[in-house]
Parts: sequence; structure tokens; C-alpha cells
Amino acid sequence: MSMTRKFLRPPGAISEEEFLRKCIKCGKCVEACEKYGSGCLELLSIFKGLRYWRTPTFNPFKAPCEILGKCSVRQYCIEACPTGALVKRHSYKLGKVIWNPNKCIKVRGGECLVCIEVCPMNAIRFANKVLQVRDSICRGCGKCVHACPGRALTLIPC
Amino acid sequence: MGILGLRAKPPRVSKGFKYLSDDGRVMVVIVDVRGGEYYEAFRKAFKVLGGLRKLISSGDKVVIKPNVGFTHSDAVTNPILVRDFARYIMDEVPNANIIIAESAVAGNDTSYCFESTGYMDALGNLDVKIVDLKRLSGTVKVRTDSRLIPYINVYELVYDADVLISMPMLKRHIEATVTISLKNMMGAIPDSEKRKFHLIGLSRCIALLNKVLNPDLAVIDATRIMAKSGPGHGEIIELNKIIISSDLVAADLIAAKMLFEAEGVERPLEKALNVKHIRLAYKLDIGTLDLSRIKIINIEV
Repeated sequence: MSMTRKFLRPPGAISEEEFLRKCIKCGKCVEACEKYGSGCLELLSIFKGLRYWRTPTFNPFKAPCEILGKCSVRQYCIEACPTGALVKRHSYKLGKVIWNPNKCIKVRGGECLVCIEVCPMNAIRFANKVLQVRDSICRGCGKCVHACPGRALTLIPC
Repeated sequence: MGILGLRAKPPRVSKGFKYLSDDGRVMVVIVDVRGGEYYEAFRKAFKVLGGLRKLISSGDKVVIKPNVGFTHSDAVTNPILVRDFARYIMDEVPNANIIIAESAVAGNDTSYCFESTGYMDALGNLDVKIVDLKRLSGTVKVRTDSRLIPYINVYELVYDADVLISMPMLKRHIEATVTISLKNMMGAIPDSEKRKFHLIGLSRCIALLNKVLNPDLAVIDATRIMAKSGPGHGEIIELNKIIISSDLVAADLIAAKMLFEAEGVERPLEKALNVKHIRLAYKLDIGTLDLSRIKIINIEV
């Protein structure tokens, strides 16, 4: 049985089990992201488990992934990977967006919906006090998660 | 000291010049640009208004703030229009130091937005500076009179401008109903401040921001507008108009009315008057909503 993903991975990551086997924890993808991308990648700390230590993760709170913007032509993190733990694909999906209505400013009566504003895929709808992220369209770039002022959105691995 | 905002600076000092008609009314010029000759449109519009030199003097630092918040060209101010306006300013006031500055929507890379929407191609050959505020400008704390938000962090470059020009695209906005010249000034503040605005109350903060920044001129790109929904994705309608006024509130009112008319909404003027941030800006005395004090001039190229 394949292992479920515990952490968000950079775009193009192969299945978690294979990924952990192939990743040599060199941190080159993170360096490339800092240099050419948005700087959304970071290395996991030792407290997340020895097995995951120094493997790369995507943190949308730090910065959103530019896979649909600046990095749509060249994916620098994937190009930097020396072992093939990250591979080029036709399209990328980084995660799934989860919405927490208790933290949503719009539901609480404020003037917000910044998530819809920033979504590059136009995947978010808001009707009858319910925010709907259409999973078939969403690529998990994390722009909405990054922009949400109430931190009502989170990205989970898929 | 800093946290309490005691070191905060006073609001930006604008020239305080307004283009008024002979009878003291605020002039709003609507130019029909069906032929696409934007340079000619600016020349004619400023002839009617009374000349650009009244507003911009030689050696001034002119900051044009277009809306380049997105990576696709449907949702940003027409770069050709910005180019022709910059060219017009250069020809009228040869010594003006023109800067095109923007900080894109939270999470978007402004430099990439400038590149992907054609700004670099259109303005690359011109003697203007294109500034990604997120990367290249520091911020200053500016005092407001409100207890709601005692000070606002604003990009220094925009604060230090001699002449500040808001150059938005006429669009629908999911939170603020419309996004025109008043809402466009949200691109002069850092992402952290934008987040704060949403938490506190967007409309009031937009009005306060404009009170603090005092933009001198609004040049609204209604060559094509985004109707029904926005600001990222919506229905694009070709309207072929440019709206110019030194009164941002009046300009926004007329532009919003135009947008609602194009959408086919019933009673567009009433709806435009009910846009919360425009009404609040009027209450803060940024401009006028009194139709008897607004003179609309329609011209064609």
C-alpha cells in the first residue's frame, strides 16, 4: 500500500514513499526557489520526524507557489533536483484547500473575499455563506491561503 | 514609540490643485477613443481641462499608479494607454520625472505582472522608471485621524511623489462592488497592510487611505471594462472611453455609473451612489458626490 503524504511537497513530487527514498536532502530545490521563484519552499525541521528531516516542503503561509505565474515556463525547483524526486509533468497539483467557516471574515460579517480575488484559476465561489473551492480546477498554488487575512484557509496534501 | 504611531508622518501634501470650470464646478472629462488614438485623446482632454502644466511643473516627481495587480492582461490597465499618457506628460513637461509604480494583489509577483501584461514591452523604450514597490521601496507610517486605524503603512515612493496619479481599469469588485481610482490606491500599501484593511473593514480603510495619500488626478481606463464579476475574472466589454478628473470621488461616481449602465442594471446612478467606499470618501471630504457641482464634458477624438 502506498504511503499517504503527511506534508505538502514541491511541485512534481513523486509518490511519498518513492520521494523519501530518492530525496537526498540536499536542499537545492529550496535554494532555487529562493533565488528564482517566490521562496515558498523550506526544509522540514528535525521535530517533524527523523525520516522527514531536511526534506523539502511547500509552505503557503511563507509565500504562494508561482507554478501558475512566474514559474509556469520553467520550474526551477524541479530543474535543480539531482535525483529525480521531483519530475516535470503536464500539470501540477500541490494540495487541496480546506476552508474553516469559523475564521472566515466574510461569514463573520466583514468585507472580505480576497481568496476569490487572488485565485488565478477562478476556482472559488461564495454563495449562501459557504465558500466552495472547486477541487477539479484548483491546483493548490496557495495564493488564497497566503492572502487570507483570517487564516481561514489551509492547504493539505493530496 | 513606533508601535503607537507617534513617529508617524502627516498625510501626503498634494498640490491641492483641482480642475474646475468657470462656474466653480468639478470637471469630469469623458473622452471617446474609438479610433484608439490615446495620445490625441489626452491632448484634447487636457486642453478642455485647462492644461497639464497647471498640475505638473517642471522637475516634478510624477508617480503614475496603474492597476497591474494580475498576471493576465484582461484585468489590468491598458499598457498602451499608460504609455501614451507618459508620452504626453513628457512632451508637455519635458523635465518631469515619471515613475510607474505598483504593488500587485497579495501573493502576486509585481515584476512578473509587469512583464506578463505587456508593460515592459510597451514602456521599455520610454524614459520612465517602472517600479515594483514590493521589492524596491521602503514604507512610511502615515497618521490618520481615525481611531479605527491610527496609522497606515504606505510605500515611501508614493508618499514622496509631487504628483500622484491614479490610473485604474474600470472593473467590478467582489468585495468593494467596484474598483476604480479610490480602490486602486490599495496598490500603494504593502501586503501586510492590505490584510489589515480586510480585517478592519475595507470600505472605511479605502476612504482613509485616500485621505492620507491625496491623489492629484484620476485617469480611468474604460477602453475595456470588466463587468458582472471581478477583479480577476469577469465579462470584458469594449467601452472605448477614458475618464479624467482631478476629483477622484466624482470620477469614480461617473465611472461606476457607466459600469452599471453597461451591465444593464436598473437605476445605475443610485447604485453608484450607494457604493460604500465612494460614499465614505465623500464624507471624508476627498471629493464631491453632489451632481450639481459636477460638470461632465463629453468629447470625441
